[in-house]
Amino acid sequence: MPKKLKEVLADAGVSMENEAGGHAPKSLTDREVKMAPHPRVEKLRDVFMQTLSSANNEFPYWYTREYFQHDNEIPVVRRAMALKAAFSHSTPVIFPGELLVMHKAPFFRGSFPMPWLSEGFYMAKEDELYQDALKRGATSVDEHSKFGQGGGNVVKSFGKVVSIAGKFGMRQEEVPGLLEVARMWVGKSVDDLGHKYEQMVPGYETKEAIMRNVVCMFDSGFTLPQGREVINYFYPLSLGFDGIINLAKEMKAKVAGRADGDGLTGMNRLYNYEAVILATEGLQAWVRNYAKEARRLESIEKDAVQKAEYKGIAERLEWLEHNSPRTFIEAFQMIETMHLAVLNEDAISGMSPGRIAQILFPWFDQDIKAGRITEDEVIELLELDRVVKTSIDCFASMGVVGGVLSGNTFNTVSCGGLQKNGNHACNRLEYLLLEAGMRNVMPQSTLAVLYDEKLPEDYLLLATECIKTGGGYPAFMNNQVGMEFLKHHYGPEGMDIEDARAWAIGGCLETSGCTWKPITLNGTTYWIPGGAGQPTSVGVHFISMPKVLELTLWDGVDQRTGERVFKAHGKKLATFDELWAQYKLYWQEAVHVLDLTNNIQHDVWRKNNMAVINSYMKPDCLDKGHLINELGYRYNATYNVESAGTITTINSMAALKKIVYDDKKVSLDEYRVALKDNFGFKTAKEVNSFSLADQEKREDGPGKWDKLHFMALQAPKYGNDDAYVDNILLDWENFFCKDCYNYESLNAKPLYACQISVSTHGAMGSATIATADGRLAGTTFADASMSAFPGTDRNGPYALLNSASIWDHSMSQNSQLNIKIHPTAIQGEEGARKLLDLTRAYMRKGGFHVQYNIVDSKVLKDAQKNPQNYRDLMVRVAGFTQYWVEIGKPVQDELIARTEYEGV
Amino acid sequence: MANGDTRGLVFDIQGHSVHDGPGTRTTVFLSGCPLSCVWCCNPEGLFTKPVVIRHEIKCKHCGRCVEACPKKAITLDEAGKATFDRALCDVCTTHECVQSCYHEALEVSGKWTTVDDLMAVFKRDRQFWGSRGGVTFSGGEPLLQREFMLEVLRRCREARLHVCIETTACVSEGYLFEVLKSVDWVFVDIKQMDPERHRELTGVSNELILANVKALAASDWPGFVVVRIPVIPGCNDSEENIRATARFVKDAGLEVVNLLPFHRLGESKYRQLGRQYAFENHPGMPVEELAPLKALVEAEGLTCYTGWKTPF
Repeated sequence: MPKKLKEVLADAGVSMENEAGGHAPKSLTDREVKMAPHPRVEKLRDVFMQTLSSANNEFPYWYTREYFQHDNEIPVVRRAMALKAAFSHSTPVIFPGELLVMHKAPFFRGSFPMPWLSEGFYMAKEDELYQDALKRGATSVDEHSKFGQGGGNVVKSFGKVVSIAGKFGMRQEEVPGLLEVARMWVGKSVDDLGHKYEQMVPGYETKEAIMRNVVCMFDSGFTLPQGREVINYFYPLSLGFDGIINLAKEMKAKVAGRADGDGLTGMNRLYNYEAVILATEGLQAWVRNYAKEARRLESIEKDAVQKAEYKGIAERLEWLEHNSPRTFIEAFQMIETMHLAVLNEDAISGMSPGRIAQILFPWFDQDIKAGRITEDEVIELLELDRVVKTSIDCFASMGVVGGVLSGNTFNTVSCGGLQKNGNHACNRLEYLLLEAGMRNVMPQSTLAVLYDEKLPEDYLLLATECIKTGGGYPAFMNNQVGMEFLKHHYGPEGMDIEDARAWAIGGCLETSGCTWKPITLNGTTYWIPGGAGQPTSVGVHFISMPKVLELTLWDGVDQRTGERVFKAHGKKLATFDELWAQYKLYWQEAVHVLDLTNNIQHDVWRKNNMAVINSYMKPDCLDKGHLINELGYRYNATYNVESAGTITTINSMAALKKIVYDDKKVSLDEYRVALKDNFGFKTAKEVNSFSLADQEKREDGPGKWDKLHFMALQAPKYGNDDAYVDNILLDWENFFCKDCYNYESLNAKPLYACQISVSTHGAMGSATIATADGRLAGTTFADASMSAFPGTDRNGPYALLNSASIWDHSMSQNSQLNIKIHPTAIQGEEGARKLLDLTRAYMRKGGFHVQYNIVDSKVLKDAQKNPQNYRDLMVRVAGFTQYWVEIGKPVQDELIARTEYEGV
Repeated sequence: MANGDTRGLVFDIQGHSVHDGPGTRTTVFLSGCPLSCVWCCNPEGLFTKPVVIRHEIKCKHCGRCVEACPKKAITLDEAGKATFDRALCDVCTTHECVQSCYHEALEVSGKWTTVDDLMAVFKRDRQFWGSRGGVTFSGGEPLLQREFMLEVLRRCREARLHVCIETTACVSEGYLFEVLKSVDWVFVDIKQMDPERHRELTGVSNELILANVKALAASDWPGFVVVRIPVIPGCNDSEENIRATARFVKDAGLEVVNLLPFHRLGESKYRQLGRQYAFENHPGMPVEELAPLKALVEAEGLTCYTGWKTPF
């Protein structure tokens, strides 16, 4: 007899419960995920949706005023004084319905400029400062970076609101004040001072040319000096503010006047502890002002329920002003307060909360057991946290925030993974965290599942179901590959297997070193993970690999601007090996000079603008008495080299190898002419689309370059399991990952490889002429580092995954693979399982990261035409989720073009 | 004697195929079919040789293919647009035009593929299927290329792959059972119960098909059978036909029917082959419309799934 359905379903793990004749399991009907958030969350989300990003001068005014009153103070103390004054004067705002309170600035959504980092870029266009900034090259990338035109971005001035940095609205009357404050920092900001000294680096002219021609996107030290790291809430959670101050006072008595064997920095500990006390007093005042505001609102509120909520907020804040949290909601409030405090201390994107379901578990565990809170209330708070995190805006230049970040702030939460003891970490709160992510679908916090073979199957299936909400999260990161990288890279600083297990994603995709700390609550001890390393994705920012190839082909001269970037190499490039070798030499030259200049910028930052609050929260600063600038962190080898356009370059190399060197169909000279002539096509800007598919030829009929363009497009492409091209990738990865170890950071540690594109593949593509793989001028590079160029992975996802896993991903801090899947391919419970099968297979083959965009291209095209109908549409861009309407057009075009797997 | 070099004509291979059997699979589409259903969504699979397809949207009407074609099958019309005489084109075996086109507008559908080539694809893909996946052979009619298929199936068994076929069952009973020795799962279509109407719609009578389904159900073959009915407006969607099909399935002793709603995914392929699509004016059918027919099938005591919502 042929097999029975019951047996088949049993094989598939589906129980038929022995019903006569058999019926489809109920769970299969209409499983597609659309869940509603709690009503209070929905209301606050609506407020967010209708709010524009705002900026004002309150924080910078008080910071600057205080700072310039203490000319001769020790720098760390002076900075702490300024921070204390700024926090103490920040106006509190509380919105009805909020339970987790406090905001970055006195707006629901907004931020403020930090002229002490860089004062040039947000000055009005006519201002001479702005003109000077332009000349410096650092801002030339702004021309290639655009924000999405919709959503909460204020891209244009209107009425009495002035658009600042392409994103924020500022009241017109505040602008003169901003300029006044900014002028105070001329010649004194990290940018200006760093610039003064970086010019002393031999080869500095090359660095300037590199920045002007968008070979590299962004200096590191003054744009977003911190972030791409995991925060650590341990000290505030375990000691409270009074406890921290008391600890610092005790330590001051121990270290005052003592070098203790360290003649260079031993004495500094006294000043550092003094700074800790001052900064913490500032935070106490900030919390106190919020408590007062809650009391004020309580006194005037008519609605009894809302009145009681204000009272609860006031009571919690009054307690937290001095003490460590006792309950889940108090602990959660403390986390929010500290998160915002750190983000107000410095210009930061990618300050990740880390593994909050592990961190909050002690309070959750005890509150649930004692009946103080229900799971439903916990989910509501987790949903509210998503409103808080999504409302955080980052204030930096348009180029940075638009071109790199697409306006995102990357407060990534990691889930899954292992506990300190080696067992999986999927406690009950981890499940609720995913559920809250499904119920309140907002871009922040995006979720990263630390995939380990030990994670329970039902947890992984829930995570896969979560993808179906269309929020673009979670992404899957390979836990063991991440641990392997950390053990190897931080081994010399003492990283052991237990600390490796504590890791989390900092920023969007940055594997970050963490550690465990014991929380003892009512006699029970829990080990909670938290950040223990310096910022990552600092050092040598995104280098455009296709641009380096362009410079290699043209003897060091940029073909868009005509400007010389590198010294002429003078080689004929007669063989593929010669081309490849010269490419690597130019690459090394770029990395070398950028490493030196960025070291100087960061050194200026750490001397005058060092983190105090973020710093002392990280182990082992409070124990050692040294902050970030004196390597008080446990892990300091965090500086990296970032690449962009990997696959576009690998494909171009393969095309040149095939067409010029192996098959000898066309000479390199002729190829160069064709590339400069853009294969006979118009530029992407003329066409106003940055997708290769939409490009138009300059004239109808046969063109001179049609045949070569055809050959270029037909040449072997990465993502098809074709060794011809994949071996070039393999060679590159082994070169790149090892080469990074040849450069030294300011912390005297070797650099490492970081392979995420974020949104730079759009902006950098915009500044690069046609490439040998057939990509046309101005169009977007292949995204990420492991995604195929849109449309070129013709053999389906398995071939792509096989190509991607050809090299050892644990040699690099990360790799990144984005796959777009049509919603029909993952329908039903069975669809989720099949998607999990695919994910698991890639992880087992050593892939580090994969994420899915579950969206129909037709929807995206319609959204581009009718953005007003798609305010809440979200897509996965690089390592993050963002509202469609807040993304710039080049990246939108690339998202539409990505190959979509329908599986039908 | 068939071996690893034996070639079969394959017109597509899809990795991560999620609707063609249990788990995630790799589906191989083989050319040639004994039926020619008027609604066929893979018309390129009807050919028994590689054939040129044309993506009109990419065509720049440059005329290079006109010069390249030795059959003079392509001409530029008065408006300067390239037009294809498909009668001449379809018998061509050399396809010079494809190499002459620089715009990727012309493509050969159907590739002679060796048994070893296919096994190499499976070897790679099986890493990604997950524990319940495997290979599905579809078409066209996958069993038409007999020597090739028997060798592929033998090798699949040797490699311990889970094998599924999507067949018309319009082959001899003896051959069918020989094939089934290496097959774990069968999707078989019953397109129409009335033999004459079946002949009108598909070109052949359904007698052999129904006889094979009966024999399969009654046999000791240990695999699993799913009967599929592509529900096509005006062709087989009457209550009477669906009820008759369900009764036949029930009487044969099978238990699962999968109703597939009519879709238009094949429409562009007709254009690419220069053929007329018979369902030009029919919109695709939302799966919800199958609910009444599903109820009819269930009334016969069968399990019925509609569209892709299946538990496998």
